[in-house]
Amino acid sequence: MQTSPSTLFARSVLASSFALLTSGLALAADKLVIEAGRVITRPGHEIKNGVIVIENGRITKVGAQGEVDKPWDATVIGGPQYVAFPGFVEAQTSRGLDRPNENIDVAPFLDIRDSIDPINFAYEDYLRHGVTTLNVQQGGNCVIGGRGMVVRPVGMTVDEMAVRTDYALKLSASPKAGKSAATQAMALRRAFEELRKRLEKQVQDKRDGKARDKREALFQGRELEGDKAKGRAMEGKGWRVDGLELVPRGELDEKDLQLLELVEGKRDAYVWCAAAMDVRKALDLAKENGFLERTTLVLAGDCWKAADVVAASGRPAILIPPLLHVETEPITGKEVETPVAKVFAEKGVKFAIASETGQASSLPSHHVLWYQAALAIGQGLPRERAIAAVTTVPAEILGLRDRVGSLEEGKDGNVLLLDGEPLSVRTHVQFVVIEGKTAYDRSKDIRLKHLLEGKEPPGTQAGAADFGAAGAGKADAKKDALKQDEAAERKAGEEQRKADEKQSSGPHFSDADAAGEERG
Amino acid sequence: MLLTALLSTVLAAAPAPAHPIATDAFAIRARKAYIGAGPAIEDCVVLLDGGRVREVGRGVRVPDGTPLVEYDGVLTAGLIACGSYDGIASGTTDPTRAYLPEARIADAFAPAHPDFGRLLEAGITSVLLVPRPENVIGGVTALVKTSGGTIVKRDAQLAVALSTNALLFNREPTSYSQALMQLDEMLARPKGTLARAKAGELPVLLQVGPEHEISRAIGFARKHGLKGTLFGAELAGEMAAEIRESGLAVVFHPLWFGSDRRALRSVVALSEAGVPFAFALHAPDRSPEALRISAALCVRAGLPLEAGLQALTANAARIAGVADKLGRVERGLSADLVVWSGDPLDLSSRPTHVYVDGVLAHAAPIPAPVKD
Amino acid sequence: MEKSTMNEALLGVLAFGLLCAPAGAADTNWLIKAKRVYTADREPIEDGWVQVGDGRIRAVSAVSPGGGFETLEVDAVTPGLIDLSVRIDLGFDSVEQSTETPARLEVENALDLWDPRFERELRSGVTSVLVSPPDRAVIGGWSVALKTGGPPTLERRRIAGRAALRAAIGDEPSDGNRPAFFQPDSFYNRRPTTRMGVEWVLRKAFHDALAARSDAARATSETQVYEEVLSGKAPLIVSASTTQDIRTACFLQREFKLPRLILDAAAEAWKDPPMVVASGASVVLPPLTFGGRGGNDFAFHSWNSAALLHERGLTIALSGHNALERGERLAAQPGLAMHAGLPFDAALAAVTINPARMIGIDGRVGSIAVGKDADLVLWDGKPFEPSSRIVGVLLEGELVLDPRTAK
Repeated sequence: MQTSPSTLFARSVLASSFALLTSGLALAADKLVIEAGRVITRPGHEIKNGVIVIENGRITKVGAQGEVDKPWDATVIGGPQYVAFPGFVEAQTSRGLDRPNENIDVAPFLDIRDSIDPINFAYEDYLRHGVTTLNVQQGGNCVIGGRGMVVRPVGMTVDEMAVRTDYALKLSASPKAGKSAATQAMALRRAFEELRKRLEKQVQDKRDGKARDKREALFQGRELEGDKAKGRAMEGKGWRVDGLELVPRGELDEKDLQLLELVEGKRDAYVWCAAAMDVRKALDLAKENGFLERTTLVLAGDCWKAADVVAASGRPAILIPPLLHVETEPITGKEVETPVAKVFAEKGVKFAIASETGQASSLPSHHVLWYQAALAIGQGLPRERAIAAVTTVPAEILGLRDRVGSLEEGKDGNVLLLDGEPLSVRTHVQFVVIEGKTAYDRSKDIRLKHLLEGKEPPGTQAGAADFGAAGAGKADAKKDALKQDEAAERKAGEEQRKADEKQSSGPHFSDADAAGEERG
Repeated sequence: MLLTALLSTVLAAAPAPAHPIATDAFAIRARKAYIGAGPAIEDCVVLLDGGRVREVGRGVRVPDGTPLVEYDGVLTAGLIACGSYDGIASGTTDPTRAYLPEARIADAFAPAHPDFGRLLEAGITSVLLVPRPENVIGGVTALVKTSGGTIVKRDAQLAVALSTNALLFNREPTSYSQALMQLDEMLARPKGTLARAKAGELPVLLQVGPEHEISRAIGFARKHGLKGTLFGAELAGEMAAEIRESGLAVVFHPLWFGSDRRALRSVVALSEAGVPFAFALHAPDRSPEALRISAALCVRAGLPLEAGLQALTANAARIAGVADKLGRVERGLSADLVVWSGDPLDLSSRPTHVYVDGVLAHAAPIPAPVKD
Repeated sequence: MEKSTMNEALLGVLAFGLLCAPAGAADTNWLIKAKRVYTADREPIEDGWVQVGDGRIRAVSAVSPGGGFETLEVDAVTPGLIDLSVRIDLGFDSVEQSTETPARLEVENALDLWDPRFERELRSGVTSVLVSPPDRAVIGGWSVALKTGGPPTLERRRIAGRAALRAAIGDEPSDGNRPAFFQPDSFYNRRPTTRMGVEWVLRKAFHDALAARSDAARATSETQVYEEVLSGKAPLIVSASTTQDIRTACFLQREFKLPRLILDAAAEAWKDPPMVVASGASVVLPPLTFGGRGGNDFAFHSWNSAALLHERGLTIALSGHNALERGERLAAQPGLAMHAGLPFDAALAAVTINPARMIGIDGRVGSIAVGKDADLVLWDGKPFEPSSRIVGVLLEGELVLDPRTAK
């Protein structure tokens, strides 16, 4: 994305304000007590006048006021006016990346950590809306994409953000741009067939006494000692290459490792399905190649038609908004609306709700997790299931059931302090605590103030702040540049007007003022 | 003439006919005949004289000395394609002017064009030539015979396209509202064909598409007291009550095997509401067979057989304003007759003999089996 | 599998068809009992009753008015919602582009009442809309106020035929126009090609109309149209997104003393509220977002535009345009505005009585008051919360969404 120097400047100003906030917190005591009029520990469980004690980033106690011993040296935040709630968990997103998709069809060797921009406004938005854990995956426009990463939306570097690195692979059962459904399926099949052929060839080479792979590994400077010098029999349920134990792991092509781990059942997979017809393909592929039990389906609205297939597979799903699927019935021409989350709930599918919309043209109102969950309730999903779909279920999908998603002893100290009923438009996130540290304080949210009062952050150019996140979603560099130019022009016009106004001899404005008096 | 030459070739190729080729009096006897409204007549005799039907019915006595041709087939009136573009090589669209009220399609077709021969072979003896719906007022339609290109009616209707097709992006008007306003202004002080249309002397052919265009056209006709036909109103059946009240007839686009059920049901519903309707053909873009197939598909979807046949004959003649000349096998009307090898809406049937004005214009006896 | 889901889809359609089937005459009589009746123009009534008969509201009270009608019991009832900026038109077929001021045209002649978007609005609680010609002409003609349901004829759906005159400022009206260079090859070879050109066309229009007041010879059918706006008989609804366009509209108001100005899609109206206040204009906001980023013409739509303008005493209306997605529809807009600080009552007014007053249809719709059309929205929770559901919609007393089957 093209970025003008002024934008960079704007970002660094904001980033440094965040840096101050977070580094300041690093000095705070490692014991935190959160008090709240209501503590909602997980869907359907609530403690009146509750207390949460967090030590060294972990929750050590949750209970009612008076029943819980508070460490004498702890920092205390909160009060009876607040509702404590577990941090929301985003099961899957591609926001916060400079560009979410790689051109190469099969690229499991890529790592999303190289694409994450820690100061992207997306993470700030996540924090503002109470998301404390998010699984960043590449976009669905791939055959086999890179490895994702679970992060917390705080920190100036990817390492600070990291919760779980070298995580799952993203696959797409739906055609990548330029492919048909058939060529996509072929490319997916071929990726695994080729992996198998390469592995078989390496085994055969080894048996034939050829040392080409070893020479190649040494030439690339790869480690060939210790575990890397040992071979290991291939595991996995789908298929197996006999004799792979003959090949030292260090001699395997690095580009094949992640895919091999997938086949061996050692790596999670997120498989994107844009249409109901893709669900069966996704499940078959995962079954044939032995990673079905580690597969999560990422489903667009149309996939409600395959809810039975998803339910029968027993696999969890992530539902991508819009959660109200609208289709035109071909015979009558009438629109038919289907509440997607409700359908999956009735079929007994375990699902998380994501905030990212599948449609580029959508307004950013959809990039808010609690709002999507609330909309699902309005479409008939029981309240507790909707809350679970943005807390406990995604935690389970991410393999972080013991760490996030609810307020229980031993879990990460990820707590939101809300000023009202969760999932209501009148409620705001006042504080976000991540692993025992206050990561967000609404009263100190500089840009929120700007958003609310309509003032540009000091030292920034008009528009620079406006288009950061929207631009990241659209990834249309040229358009962004155009927007920024327009914004700059507009700003110049504004300044000119203000200058005119100051002179106060402008005929329009003296008139306007007079008119105001007349009316008043 | 080219057409005559073509015909004689056809006839020369066929086995020698056992009937006179003249306008003298003669008689035809067919196994079965649909002569107009009502059920089929078995063993029907038609007496022809001077190109017209003199008498018709079961057991009509054939005067001594009058030659009699007997067919083991089914006889109907010649089919009428209610809207087609045959023989119009030059096009009918003016990209610079949207209103052509004085244009006449009768001046724009080639009577000897080979298109007409193809229609004749499909049992179509007359065709209503219409301008394409790309001008808001496209001109005056005409009804012509497919044998010889005789003009039966030079000013059948005034074609008005209240259709998105007539709203070009670079020609005034670009919007429905402007088109309507301009039409209103023209009809406030009508001249020429518009004056005749307003006086009820010249029906209008309102070329439309989806429901909103149908509705707009009905409103327009009502406002100015115009009589005529909605042309191309595929979903007319869903608005049957409103259309019946308007007094307008309907011409449907030709249907085909892939046409959706909604379009087929629309025809059936309109028929049930008692609104007269016919089918357009849009040849040469479409195969001439599309006319008969349109009616057959509707019969399969629930349209009574007689209503299907009427749409191809009597109702089409009525819509084109020539009910006094064509469309039925009746005393005094033109002897445009088709003999079919079986039931006319049975798709395995085909026309074996086609008479236009009492003259055998096309004959295609059952061919010998193809040999390797 | 494929087959069974298709059948389900069809069943859905049938069910929907039944819900929308026109009810018999007897079915326009209802008694609605709600924990809260939000009247929109007066105080809400706790545990209130609304009696509906013959398509109109017959009684609103805190005690049961009786009447022997069937009772519908819900959490809340609000008036049917009103959107002054739905873009449910036929695209360029709905706006004349052979001239920049086709002011005499009425967009009602260029609409598709069968457009499924009307029904989408209706079942999401929007019962009245203002439809304007698309903004490809400077003065595009007359907008029409319509009901979103009922028999698809103008006679039955029209609330007001010439409800407002539509004008546009900004990029769009001059888009497509160009200089002739050496080849004047179409009517798009014309002014305006710039924003200032657009303003010039607008000023000239009203200037001509003023001149026609003193010189009858200069009166034309177009100046008669402008005269209706100048005299305040009809409002002028101007599409203006950015600050500069809003300024232009306000200057126009000053110069010609336009008594009833409505700024539509005014994303940046919050940037200079005093100017808008001085113009006496009311404001229609485009769909709100959480980010505050977005709007037409690259405009910056502040997160709390609605609250900022409301605090200044401006009359505002919210719009969902013709959003496909539920979170963007009109019923979601008050919630988003409330999230950024707009009080509930103001949010309710911004989708009911305010838009009705702006275009002068408040005699028929916009609030729950005796004698008005029985256009009502029934909720299963607090209105405008995303987690609340619209369980019922009445249009002129007819249940188009039935709370008894919606649960």
